[in-house]
Amino acid sequence: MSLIYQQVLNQILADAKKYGVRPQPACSAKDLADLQARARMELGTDIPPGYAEFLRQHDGFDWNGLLIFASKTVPIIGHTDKFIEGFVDWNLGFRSAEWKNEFVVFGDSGLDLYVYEPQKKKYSARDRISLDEAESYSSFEEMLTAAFREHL
Amino acid sequence: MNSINPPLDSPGSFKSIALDEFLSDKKGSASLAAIIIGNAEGTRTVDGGKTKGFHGFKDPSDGKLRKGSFSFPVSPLQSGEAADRERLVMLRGVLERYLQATKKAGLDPGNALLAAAYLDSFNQSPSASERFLTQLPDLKTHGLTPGSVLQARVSSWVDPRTRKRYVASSGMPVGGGFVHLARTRAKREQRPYAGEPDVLRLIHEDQARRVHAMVRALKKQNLFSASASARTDSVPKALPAEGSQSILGSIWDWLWGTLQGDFNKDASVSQISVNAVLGLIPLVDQVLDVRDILAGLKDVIAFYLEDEPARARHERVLGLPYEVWIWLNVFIIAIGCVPEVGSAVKGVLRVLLGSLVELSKKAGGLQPRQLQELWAQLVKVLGRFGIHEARATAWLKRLPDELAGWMNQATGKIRTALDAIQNLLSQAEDMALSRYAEWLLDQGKVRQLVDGLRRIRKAVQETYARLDGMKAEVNAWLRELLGRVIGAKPADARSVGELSDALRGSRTAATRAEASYQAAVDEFRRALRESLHTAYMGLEPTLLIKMARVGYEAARSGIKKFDVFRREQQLRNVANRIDFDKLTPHQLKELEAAFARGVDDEAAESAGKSFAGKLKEEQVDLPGVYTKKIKYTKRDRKTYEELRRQFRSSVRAQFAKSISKDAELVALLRKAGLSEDEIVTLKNGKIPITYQVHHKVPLDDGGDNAFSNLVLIKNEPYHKVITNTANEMAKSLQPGQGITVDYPIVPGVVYPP
Repeated sequence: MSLIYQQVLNQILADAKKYGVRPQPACSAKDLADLQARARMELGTDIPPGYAEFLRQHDGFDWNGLLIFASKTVPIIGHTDKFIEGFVDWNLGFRSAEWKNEFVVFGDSGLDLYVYEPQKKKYSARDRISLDEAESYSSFEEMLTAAFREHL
Repeated sequence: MNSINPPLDSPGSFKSIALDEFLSDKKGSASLAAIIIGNAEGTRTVDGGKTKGFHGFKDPSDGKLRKGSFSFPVSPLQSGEAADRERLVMLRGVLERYLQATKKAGLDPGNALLAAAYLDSFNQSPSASERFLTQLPDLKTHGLTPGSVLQARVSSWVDPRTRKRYVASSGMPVGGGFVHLARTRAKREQRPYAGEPDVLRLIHEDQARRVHAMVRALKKQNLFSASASARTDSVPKALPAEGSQSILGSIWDWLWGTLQGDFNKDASVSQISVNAVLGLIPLVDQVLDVRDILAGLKDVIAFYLEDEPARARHERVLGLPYEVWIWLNVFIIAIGCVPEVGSAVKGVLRVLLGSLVELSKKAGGLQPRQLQELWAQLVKVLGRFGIHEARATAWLKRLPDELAGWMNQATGKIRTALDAIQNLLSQAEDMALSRYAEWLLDQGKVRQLVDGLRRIRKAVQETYARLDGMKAEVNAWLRELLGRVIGAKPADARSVGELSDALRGSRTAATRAEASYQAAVDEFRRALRESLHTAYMGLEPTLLIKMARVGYEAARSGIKKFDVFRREQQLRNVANRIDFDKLTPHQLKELEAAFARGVDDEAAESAGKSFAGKLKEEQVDLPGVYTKKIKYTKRDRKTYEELRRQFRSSVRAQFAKSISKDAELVALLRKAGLSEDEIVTLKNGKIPITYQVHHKVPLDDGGDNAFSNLVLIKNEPYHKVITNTANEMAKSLQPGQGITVDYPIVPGVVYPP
């Protein structure tokens, strides 16, 4: 399946490789199923197919200040003491107040959170402090493409 | 340098010619000698045409009328062509002398370049042409290239060993005509005549121009065979690589060779791009007084030429960082240069350090007997300086208290040595940017040469900047060392292991704070000076991080207000003060904000403040993070968008590069646990895994992209905890609306530190 972010992702991974950073391995089918179940039960949401598709390629991403959460907290490949936090756990930590429950966050950067609002069916990048909308996207893939481009 | 000539040396060889034909008086002005040498004189064009000068001009140095290709003195009625015929006959007459010398040196007399260079030399000055012939063995050794011929030509006026003009039998230096021309030139350029340096430079330029003109004409007249691989029989066996590193190495060799008074004629450093351009810059006078110190400074400057990973690889010596250790050596040498007792102090310190270095290699430390031996050695050293045993103990006991005075005098000597190096480098840079270098080198080589000189100059500036800080550091360490060794009765000390451990112990907090403050100010001053030099329109962004560091250190030394700091700096020695007057009000405001951030960081640290945020209902302590009461005002969206765009497109990467290129900041990164690979990642403008860049005061409020407002922060849990707290404060505000909050501020450059 050809993904719209594939080209920019390949580019970013090739760049990261120069600094010894390797791509995360694919998420297993079991971990993905567990993630679906936990997301429904603990966050009250389904994970979008685009995110599942990304995890099937790489279980999380961390490079140049951009973080895409993993199916569960996993070690960064090549390290035993550095981790990418799991999607559900990160969101539970983020939901420090009721009003933040409307957001499902897939990743973050120095400036933004990359979120989905299930009620509005809307993907956007939001200022990580004010949570104001900075950019909106029509799909998860489009959001991921923009996030990668900003961290090339 | 708009009109760059092609480089002098290019692959290929000059053809062998029949000298009779070359100097044919029958051909007269059409002879190759007339055309080639006429190009050096400026009377002929490369294709054999005649310039206005051919038909007659008055020589400014002696007022004589000259005509023809060779600028030969003539009567007004004689033509240029007639003058050429007469001159060619004369030149044929000196061939015998030339043939003998080339045969003796094993060179081909028919080599067009060599023959032209000799005959032109004779045409310019018969006595110089004699000295040119004495250079032939060197030409054989170093290779017959335009560059080496040029050096030989310069060396026919200036003695390469003394870097002074030869003295004629009259007792006067040769080349009196150059003096007149140098004076005239200084007047034309509306600057004071500098004397001998101006004359030497003119000789360089004149010889370069002549050789260059002849080479051009020889090529045009098909007396050069271009070939990528062609070499004459006398090309050096191992030409050094032409890369910038090689040039830097050659500049380095030239610099120390010159300072130490050695004119190094070794092939490896006789590279045209360095020695031919810089080789004969006269030695600065003050060098003679401080030559010993220069040897020590060489290590220090070499250290500051290294990049961060290389610096970090040096091992500690006697518990001291390598940087402090090499400075310690320089200070000891410099103390030895202080008149009267300097040598005795140096002797004592040398014995003391030598013993400690030796002992540090052995296990088990020193026994009381060995300490007694060390003490006896010190007394013996003093005996050599006329301080006999009866007075030695008292003398040694006074030493720790008197050390500061010696250190001050030593600092003055070191500064003089640095001035000498700086002076030489400035002259070298002037020379590299002069027309002379332009004649000799292509633009790329000139750039490499200038870049190399500037790299070394930057390292020298860093050496200057570290001088005061290192003085404090070395002084404190030596004072403690002397206090303990000299203050201890030999019988009391159980072992030197114990003594050495004690020596590595902490110094007084006050000395440390003052030294750190001074070092931060020096670092800032150096960065500011460089920033102003680069004609950067705004402030160099890293300066704000440095000013925040200054604020932090100043606060530790009791100065917490920017205007007090500014006054204090302005009251200091004028030469060393930070020149705030050169800054715009806006730049000062930026510095003040950065200074205030440092003061806030220090206040929070002193108060032992720690911020507690929440994550999953649990309290998470963030040590060092502190809250500051701010009016959080949501900024207008247009500015906000622009700041975000700048951050994403360039600021994030620049910040990463900035914090990883500065020695002081890199030390903080290492302390925070970043690996060397991660520092390399930052150097390339990328953020290492598990980190992000956080705005201390957010862009959504009044924060900006100033580097003092940025911090490299570990994502988990720190960035997240800060974000959770800030979310609550910033929610639901409209642009322009404000709310007073206790906002969590992350201190420093990297968190956790």
